[in-house]
Amino acid sequence: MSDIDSKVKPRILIVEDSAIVALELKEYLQRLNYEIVDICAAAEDAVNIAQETEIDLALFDIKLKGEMDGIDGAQIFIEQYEIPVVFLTAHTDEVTLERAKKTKPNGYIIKPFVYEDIKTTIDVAIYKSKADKKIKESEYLFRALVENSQDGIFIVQNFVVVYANEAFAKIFGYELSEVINENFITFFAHSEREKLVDNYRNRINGKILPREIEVIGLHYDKQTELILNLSAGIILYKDATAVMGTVKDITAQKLAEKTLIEAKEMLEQSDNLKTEFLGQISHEIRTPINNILGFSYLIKEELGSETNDNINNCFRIMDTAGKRLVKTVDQIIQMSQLQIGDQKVQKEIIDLDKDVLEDILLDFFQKAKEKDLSFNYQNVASSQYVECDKFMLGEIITSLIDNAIKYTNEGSVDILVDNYLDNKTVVEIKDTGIGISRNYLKNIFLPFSQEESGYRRSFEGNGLGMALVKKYADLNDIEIEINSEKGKGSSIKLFFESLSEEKIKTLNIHG
Amino acid sequence: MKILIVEDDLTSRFVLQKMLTPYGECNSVVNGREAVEAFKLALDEKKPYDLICLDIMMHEMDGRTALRLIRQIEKENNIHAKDEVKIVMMTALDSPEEVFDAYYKGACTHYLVKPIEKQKLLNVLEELELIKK
Repeated sequence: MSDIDSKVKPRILIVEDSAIVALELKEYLQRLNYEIVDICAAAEDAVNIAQETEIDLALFDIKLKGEMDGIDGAQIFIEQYEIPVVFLTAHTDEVTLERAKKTKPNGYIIKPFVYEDIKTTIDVAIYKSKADKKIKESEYLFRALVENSQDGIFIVQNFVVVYANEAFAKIFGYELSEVINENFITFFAHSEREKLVDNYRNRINGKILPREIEVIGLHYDKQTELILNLSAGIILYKDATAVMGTVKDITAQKLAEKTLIEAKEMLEQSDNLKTEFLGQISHEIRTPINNILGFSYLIKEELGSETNDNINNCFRIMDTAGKRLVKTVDQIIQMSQLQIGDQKVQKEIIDLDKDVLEDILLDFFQKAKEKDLSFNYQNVASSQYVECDKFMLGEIITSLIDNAIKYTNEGSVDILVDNYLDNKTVVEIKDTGIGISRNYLKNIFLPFSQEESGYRRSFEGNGLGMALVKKYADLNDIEIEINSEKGKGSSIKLFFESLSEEKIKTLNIHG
Repeated sequence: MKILIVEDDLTSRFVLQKMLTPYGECNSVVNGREAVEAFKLALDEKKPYDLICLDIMMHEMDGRTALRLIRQIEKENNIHAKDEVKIVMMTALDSPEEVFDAYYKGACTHYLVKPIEKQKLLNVLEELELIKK
């Protein structure tokens, strides 16, 4: 009992017109460590004091002289000032006692006093009053919360709305007064009603149901459908089982969601179309070229030894032209796939020698020989494993060697595999070709760029090669370093990320 | 050497035949279904193929499905890995992904990109030890 403000002395006002009784009480209470604020003989005086002073409890004699008696005074104390009152009564008639009861006092002390009981009565009264105040406060807080909530809050008993907040009425387009005592089902679309009745019954019968469901609500106009989140739980309301819950209008949210999903689907669809289109174009160009190249090969074979240098030269040009066309189509398609982010990177551990270089070099030996270039390959790396997309790495190296041979008219093209700082693997492609000017170096990775442009340029190409190299390198975390001197030659180095210890371990396990 | 060419494009079929005839007996079919049938037949006659050149994009049954079915038949007949028929997939590189899928998952032995070049084809055959250098 003493846990509410036990350190502070409770402040008590005595309202008693018998001076002797009052003084006796005061002395007794002071001994018990109460603070007596004042003693009044009339209720009016007591009310005046209550206006100015903080009082924890008033002891009221019922029979007082003056306009007001003790009951009138106590009523003001209790109702206006929320100060608990304990009545001091002698034998009283039934009518007076009834009046006293109506003020809801916090206790009675019967005269003549049994002093031992007084302390208990006073303490209980103070404690209860403070507890009541706290409940009232939390009730006030709760009410404010409910009434200001943007979500509709309701209590339903026997399918009838017995309580609802403003937001609930507003969601459905009703006045608050129209909502109360309305059948709960009225607020929902016909198609939902059966489901809701089942749900309600099941809930009442103690079945465990999802806390939140999505339902279609029906607006006051009986036409507009609302998408709602409905959540509910069982409570005891006015001594009977009830369902209390909240309603949230998510119509706008759902509409936005739907629009987004539709937009996404449309995007996916057009993306698929695009991919399909690219595939088809590639196929449509490749098939006729294949036919031309195939039959030119067949004619050449058919002619056998009957050909001469002139005819052979024609066949060679047809072959080169066809392959160039195929390469251009491939590069355009690869570039567009990269641009739309369609290309998936499938990284794996690659043996540079076995998985990539061997095949590629084989192709280029012949080309280098045709141009009378010295073509050398050297591998001095202790680790030639890298982690890359095999296809992309193949494209990078093919492009670079292709360029080196294309732009070198005499001298050599050298390929070197080595290790660098931190055990990084480096592939270097070095040539003694025409070199790249400082000015063009800035633009070398831009699509469709070439050092010489226009019809008078001395080298063929679509300007996509290096742009693709750069894109593929970026996707695989490969760094590119270019050193070049006009007229002397170029060196392009590819730096690979070093493999992590774990990956090297896995490699060793697999042999 | 016994070779099966599976290719629905007339040119490619002619070219492959021309390139491969010097190295063995060539049969040609035009889709995956026919390829599987031819493979079965040869197996029943105890004259299995040594090499199948298999196009990926074909009507009726594509190369990937045929590859899977052929490997399945081999399994059912308890054919050892070393005796499995060598299969070279051929693609127009419409989608490298598709090729790699076939290359790894379907256990084809090799792949070539069209237009088929004679030297590349021969290099592959050498690597597969079907012809000598």
